[in-house]
Amino acid sequence: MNLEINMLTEFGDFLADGHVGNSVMSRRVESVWNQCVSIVFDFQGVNNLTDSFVHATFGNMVEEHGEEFMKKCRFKGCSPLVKSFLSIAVGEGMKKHMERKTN
Amino acid sequence: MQHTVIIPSHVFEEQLPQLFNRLHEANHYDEISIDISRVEFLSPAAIVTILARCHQWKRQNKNLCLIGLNQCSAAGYLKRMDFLQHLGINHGYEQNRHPPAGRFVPIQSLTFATGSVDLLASEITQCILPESSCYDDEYRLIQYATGELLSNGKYHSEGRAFVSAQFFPKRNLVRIAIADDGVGIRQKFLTTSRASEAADANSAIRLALIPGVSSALLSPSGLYAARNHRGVGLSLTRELVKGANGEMLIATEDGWFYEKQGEIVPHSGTVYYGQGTLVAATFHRDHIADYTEMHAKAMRDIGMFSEGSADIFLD
Repeated sequence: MNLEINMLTEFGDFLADGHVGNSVMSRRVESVWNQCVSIVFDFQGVNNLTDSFVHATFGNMVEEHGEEFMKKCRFKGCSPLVKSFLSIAVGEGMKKHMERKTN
Repeated sequence: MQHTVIIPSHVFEEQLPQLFNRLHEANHYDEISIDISRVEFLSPAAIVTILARCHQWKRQNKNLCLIGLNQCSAAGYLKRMDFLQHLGINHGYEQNRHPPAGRFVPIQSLTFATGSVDLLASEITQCILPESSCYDDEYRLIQYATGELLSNGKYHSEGRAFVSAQFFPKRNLVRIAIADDGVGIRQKFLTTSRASEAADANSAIRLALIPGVSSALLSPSGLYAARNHRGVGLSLTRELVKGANGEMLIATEDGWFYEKQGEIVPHSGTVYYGQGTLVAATFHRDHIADYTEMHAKAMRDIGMFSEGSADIFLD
C-alpha cells in the first residue's frame, strides 16, 4: 500500500500545534505503518510551520523508525523554508535514533 | 479585608516588576480593587499579567472591583482590547466597544480545551501585520513566534492563558505576550526527571531555555505519548528574538529573565510575578531579514544543525 498525506488538507497552511500533529500522524500514519510500502507527505500550499510541530511529529517518527523511515518516507511540494525545517527535524530524529540503538 | 492595587501610569517591560509586586501585595486580601485611573499606557505584557492575576483571584472567590475607569485616559484603548470583557468584574461602565482599528489584536484567552493554536496564531499575525503577505519574512517570523508562545501557554500552563499582541508603528515594534495563572515552570519540571535542576524559579527558567529540554508530555492520544515535547520552541523563539534585535521576557513565581538586544538585563530587588508564567517577545521589524536564513542560523546557534539526507525530498 502506498500512502499520501496532504498536509494542507490535514492541518492548514500553518503547522504549529505539535499535539495535533502527533495525534493525526498516529491515526493516519502509524496505524498503517506496517502495511505501507511508501508514504509521501505532500507540503504543497504549506507556508509556514513551527519547530514544536515538526519535531513532535516528524522528529519523533524518525526517532521511532530510523532507517525504515528513510527508506519508506518522502516529502514533496516543500518550499525552501519547509525543507529547512524538515531537514533539521529528520537529522535530529536520526541522531536520537542512533543514540537509542547504541544505548 | 480590602486592598486597592494602583496600576502605574505607564508599564513597559522595565516597569513590570513594580506592577508584579503591587499585584502580589493584594494576594493576602479578600476584597481587591483595581484602580486604573492613572493608566495611560500598558504594554501587552502588563495587560495579560493583570488579567491572569485577576483570573486567579476570581478562582479563589475573592471580590474584585475595577475603579477609576472614567478618569483613565486609556479607557477607550482598554475597551477596544476587550480588557474589560476579559476582566469580567464589575466596572460600572457601559459596554460600547468599537471594533479594533488594526495594529493590535483584542485579547484572546486560551485553555487546554482551545482548538489547534494554528488558526489563532495566524489570526493574530494578520491583525497586527495587516499589510503583510503570508509569504513575507516578517509575517512568517511573527506567525512562528506567536504559534510557539501559544503552544507553550496551551500545553504548559494547566490554567487559563491570556494573549495580547500589538504593533507600535512609531518604533516599528511588534510585541506579543502571553500570561497564565497555571502551575508555573518550576512546578511543571517537578514531575520530570529534571526536577533537581529546577530547585527555584530562576533555575527553572534557565532550564526551560535549554534546547531539547521540555516539561510537557505529548498528547496522550498520540503514539509518542510517553515522550516529552522536543523543547525547542522557547529556545528558538529566544534566538529569533535576538536575530531581530528584540526583547524576550519570562517571569514565573519569583523568577525573572529579561534579555534585550542579546544582553541579559538583571533586575535588582525582589520580583514576584506569582502563580503562573508570563512570556513576552518583542521584535524590531527593521531587523527582520531573510526568515529562512534567520531560522537556520537560530538552529545552528542552539546546536541543532544535523541535516537530514536530501534524498528524502522528491522535488
